Amino acid sequence: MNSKLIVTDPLIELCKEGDTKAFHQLYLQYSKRVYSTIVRIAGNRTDAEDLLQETFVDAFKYIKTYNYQSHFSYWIKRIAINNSITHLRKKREWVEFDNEHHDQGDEVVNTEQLQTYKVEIIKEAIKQIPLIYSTVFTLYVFEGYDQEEIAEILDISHNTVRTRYARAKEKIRTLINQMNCYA
Amino acid sequence: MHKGFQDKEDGLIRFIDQNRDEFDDEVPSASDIWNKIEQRIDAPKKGVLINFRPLLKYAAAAVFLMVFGAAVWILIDNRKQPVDPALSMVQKYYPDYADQVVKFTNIVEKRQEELKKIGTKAPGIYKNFTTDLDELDSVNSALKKDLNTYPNKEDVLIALIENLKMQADVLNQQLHIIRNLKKDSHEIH
Repeated sequence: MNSKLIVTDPLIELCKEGDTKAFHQLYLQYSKRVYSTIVRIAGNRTDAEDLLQETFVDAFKYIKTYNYQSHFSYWIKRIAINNSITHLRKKREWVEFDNEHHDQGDEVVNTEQLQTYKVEIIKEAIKQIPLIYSTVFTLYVFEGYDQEEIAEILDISHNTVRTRYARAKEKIRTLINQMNCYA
Repeated sequence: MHKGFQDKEDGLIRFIDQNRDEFDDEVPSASDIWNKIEQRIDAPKKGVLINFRPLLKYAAAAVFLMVFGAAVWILIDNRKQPVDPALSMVQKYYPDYADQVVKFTNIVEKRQEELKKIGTKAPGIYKNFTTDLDELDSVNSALKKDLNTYPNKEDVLIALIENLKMQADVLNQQLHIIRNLKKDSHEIH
């Protein structure tokens, strides 16, 4: 059994007792980060607002199951990610490619040149690439999941994760180049 | 931090890492999101859940667990029977949890059986225990639905097992109360 000392958060403990004022504080503390994650995955703000609502309702409902094994932001973002992916699948926006070739994988030619990066341009580029790529990219780069975890979350193979990640980067770079040209 | 892809030196990834906070600045345009959340999380307070005494809140989950545990047991014993997809999923992907649910369900069942036998000697208090539990039947279907729909099933299962352990403790306390009542009654008479 894991006997490490667990340091509890008084705010979370109040939420576990059903204190909605404490939960409002938690919402104020985490909603921006959770919403940003949802926007990156869901790809549109209207859906993202509904998903934000669902995520916090679920979090309140299940907060008693939170056991401090991971940071709270990781726990609540995992709910947000699962809700977002379920939502995309329901909306049939999740188009799987049957003919994905895995031979390129990490070996996709690195086209990184001397690029100038800007936050807004990167955000826009992520939004413009197909969801199957942007989701893998987001889960890895922004949410810190490793290949194995991404494969499990998306129910795809490791090879597919690698291929999609490489292609995501490639597509994002191409778009950044184009947007920089027109800027 | 990032395991799996050897691209820490990639300029794009490095730029995102260095400017991480600026990527997390999205703000919902609708100003009433919290109000909507509040309405939904406040709703149970007016219903049955929050009105239960603390003991009964555990019992609500525990009653569900008995049904859930029994169903898992049936699933293990008789795979030919049609099964709930959620239970099938638990058995397939979380066999360790399913084993624990069965184990603690057995303990709970034994204690319930014992309570039922002793309860005939103290029908008043026994009725209180069972009447309260009967009121919680409607909660069971809601909890079971949650297991079907909630994405982090492992978290739910961990909580379910913890609640099952709690129910075993609650039953122990109930047995203790009834035994003490019987003992006092004998001493008085």
